[in-house]
Amino acid sequence: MSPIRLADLAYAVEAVVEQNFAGKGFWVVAETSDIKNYPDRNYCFLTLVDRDTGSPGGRDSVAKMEAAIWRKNYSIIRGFEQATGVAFSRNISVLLFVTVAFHAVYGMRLEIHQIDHSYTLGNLERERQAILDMLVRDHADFVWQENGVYITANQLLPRPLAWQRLALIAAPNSDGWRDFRHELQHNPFGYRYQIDEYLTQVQGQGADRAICGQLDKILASGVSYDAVVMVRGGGSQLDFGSFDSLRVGLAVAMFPVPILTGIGHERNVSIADMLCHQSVKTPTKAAAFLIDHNRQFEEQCLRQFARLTEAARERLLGTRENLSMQTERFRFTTHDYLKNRHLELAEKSVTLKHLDPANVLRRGYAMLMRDGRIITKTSALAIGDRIQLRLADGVTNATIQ
Amino acid sequence: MTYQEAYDQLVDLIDDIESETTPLDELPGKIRQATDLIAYCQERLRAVEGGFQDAVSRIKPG
Repeated sequence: MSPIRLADLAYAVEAVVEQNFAGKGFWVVAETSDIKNYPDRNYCFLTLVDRDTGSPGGRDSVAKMEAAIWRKNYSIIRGFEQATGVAFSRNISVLLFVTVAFHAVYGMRLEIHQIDHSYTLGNLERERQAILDMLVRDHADFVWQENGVYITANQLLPRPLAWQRLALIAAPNSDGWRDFRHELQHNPFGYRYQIDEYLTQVQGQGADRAICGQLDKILASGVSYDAVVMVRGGGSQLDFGSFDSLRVGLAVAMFPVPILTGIGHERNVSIADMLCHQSVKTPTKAAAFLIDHNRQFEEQCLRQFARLTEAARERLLGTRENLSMQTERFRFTTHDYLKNRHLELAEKSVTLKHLDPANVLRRGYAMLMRDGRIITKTSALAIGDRIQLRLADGVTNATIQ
Repeated sequence: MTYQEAYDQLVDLIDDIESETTPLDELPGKIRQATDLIAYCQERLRAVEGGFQDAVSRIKPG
């Protein structure tokens, strides 16, 4: 058989592939490897592998194919990242809808049209659950379950009356860092917060170790913080890997200062969210939470102050009224006393007047005297006695008959 | 003397006058004492009220 040109062989293969695979799509489970992403050009090349999990180490490839995501499908990457919170990167297991093509120059290549979110979400869920189970099993002092809800030591830490001293874990110059600080510093009540920054990358390779490193630094600082705040903004890279790790989950559950997370997602709840003291959706909401809590405390203080002033005011009013009342009483009691003394005297002098002999005579009585002596009994008188009669207007003589 | 002591003394004095057990000669003395006590209580009350107003105005709500 005479030799043929490579191109001819390639075209022949291309034809066969075209014949058998044109227009056919397949849902394929594979693991990503070696991703070359060109966001400014809207395409992405990657290698897909199928590993033999039965072999020792479970890392031998039983299949490997090149794949591409072209401009018209490029948005599926962002869609995937947003829905799952997983960065489209190497070593993740994905379910893809692909078509097969052979190109004479570039060889066999799969074209990726869709990425199934729920497959990855399902895996994530499984991994997450496995980590949670491990935490509950191996660290029962810090993580346990009650009625299907996870409770941790961090959650049970008491809250201060007001949050003032904060340790902030965030990526330097990130949206999360910026949003949180801005919201906190421009709060409408003029509250001031002391924020110590412990900045590090919170996403990507090794971020889980980095986060734990910052938590260690916070403990080692010797500062008694009211809370540790972990924030992460929406941004372009969406990756919760670090917050779903065993390392971070355990550190959060065990941490002796309340941890507040605001790691920016709509649907997913990471392990760190589940195990921390308080999780909110975004860095802005984290700031709002802190401000609101302090506001409640201030309002409580104002309420108590109002109660205090009200009670004091009433007491003073009551005291004043009592004093006025006694003052009045003093006035009319003294007045009555003096009036009564006058009345008594008046009464006595009336009696005296009545008893005055001059007044008695005026009333028609007469005083009978003999030899200048007053006679009060008829038995002392004899017939023929000469007597003087004193009447009101004078004396007259008379003889007893 | 505390406000309460002064006040209680005042009430007792007025009770005495009211009951008419006080001899007339002792009345001027009691009147003088009572008016002194009233003046004292009023002064104390005014001082506390003033202090209260100052305290309240120092704290601005909101």
